[in-house]
Amino acid sequence: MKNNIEINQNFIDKDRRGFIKKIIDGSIGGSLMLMIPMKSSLFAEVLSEDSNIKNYINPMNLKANYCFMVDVSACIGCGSCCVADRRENDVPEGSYRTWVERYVIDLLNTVHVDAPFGGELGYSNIPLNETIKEADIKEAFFVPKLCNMCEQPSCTQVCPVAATFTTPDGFVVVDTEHCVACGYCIQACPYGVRFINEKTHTADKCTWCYHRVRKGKLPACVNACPTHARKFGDLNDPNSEVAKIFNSKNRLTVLKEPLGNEPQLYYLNLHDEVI
Amino acid sequence: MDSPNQFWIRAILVFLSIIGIVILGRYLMLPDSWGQYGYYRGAYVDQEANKPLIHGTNQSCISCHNEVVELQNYHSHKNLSCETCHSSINTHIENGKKIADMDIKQGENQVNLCLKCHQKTVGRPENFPMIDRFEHLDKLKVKNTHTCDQCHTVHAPLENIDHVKKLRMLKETINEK
Repeated sequence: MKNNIEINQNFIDKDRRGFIKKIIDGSIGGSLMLMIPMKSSLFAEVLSEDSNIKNYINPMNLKANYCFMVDVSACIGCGSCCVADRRENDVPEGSYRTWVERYVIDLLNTVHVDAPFGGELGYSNIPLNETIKEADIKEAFFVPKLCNMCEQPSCTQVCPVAATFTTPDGFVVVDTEHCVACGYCIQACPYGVRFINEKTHTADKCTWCYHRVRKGKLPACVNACPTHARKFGDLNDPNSEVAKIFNSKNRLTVLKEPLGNEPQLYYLNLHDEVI
Repeated sequence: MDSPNQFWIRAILVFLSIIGIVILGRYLMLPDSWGQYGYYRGAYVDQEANKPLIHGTNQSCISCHNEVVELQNYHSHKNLSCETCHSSINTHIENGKKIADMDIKQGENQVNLCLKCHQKTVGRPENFPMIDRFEHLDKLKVKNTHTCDQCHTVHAPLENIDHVKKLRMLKETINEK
């Protein structure tokens, strides 16, 4: 090994003259050009179509059966989804369209649930409740929550002004110009996903980023999730990931099934303790 | 004295005027697109769909930053959205023109960003790569002040480390011979 290095050094020393010659006659000169730094702003002017944010909307896909899946075993509780959601939908501070809960089960089977700041800051620096000792933890996991987009929604039934409704393609949305913020839907929702938006003074909720889906993009939280714990797709499309999971042997659960709301938000690997 | 006929005429008039008031009221008060799809204002569906996009996708970034996206596809960070770490694209591009620099985290901010996912935390899946910052730095015998990007390329964290491992293996095999 040592000999090799010496030989190499000798080779370089001997050939230094040749190297300089080559630079002068131009054969290495080209590669030196690469070292001149170029400002990237020069390229930024020439953008292809893809880099523009496309804002035209597709027609409603009435054949689709959209569904959302959350793989609980993949969630790392980083809070990227909540941050993306707040930016995308301009959700005021203190309200959450989506949030991540931390479940800790101790040796006595007591379940501790918390979601400080809706999990938006991530759980890296958020200590456990003082009553829980780390040695006593049997299981711990994160559960992202968002609108269940029920097929039989209780919120739309109670609205006195028909401001919240299911669109023909299956999304429950709130008409912000029609809503009188009476708060009935907030009480009716069994999953607690609705809130009064302080900016618009109307009821507000997660729409699975309807505006993004109509533009052919994934919801913001699905796009932001680093571990692909959140999945979105069309169950009627056999090639979609959600349809493959739906037809596989994986056990899918929905929250509060006995209520009969028929949620379209499915959980993979969900523990029985989660409500 | 009212005849029975007059009574019926009056009753029918009242009835018709009630129907008229309801029809007129619905015409004046209900929005145009009411009932287009169902018992709600149909125009709102497109109004909701027309909300502007704030985030793009990684496809939005690839036309200018191809080399970064290629590097990112190397390994474990290939699933990450660019906008998770750098802010949303609407702060960077408007109508196809660059309007401001993207948020690039340096120093302590960057360490915090990495640790948001990779800090050893109760509840994270065990097969997910997690470290305790100072334990990790101690184990590798480097200063406590080291930031993540001094060893890892942030877009492909194991790229240069795999490279070093390969070189080491090569060196060992040469030494053995």
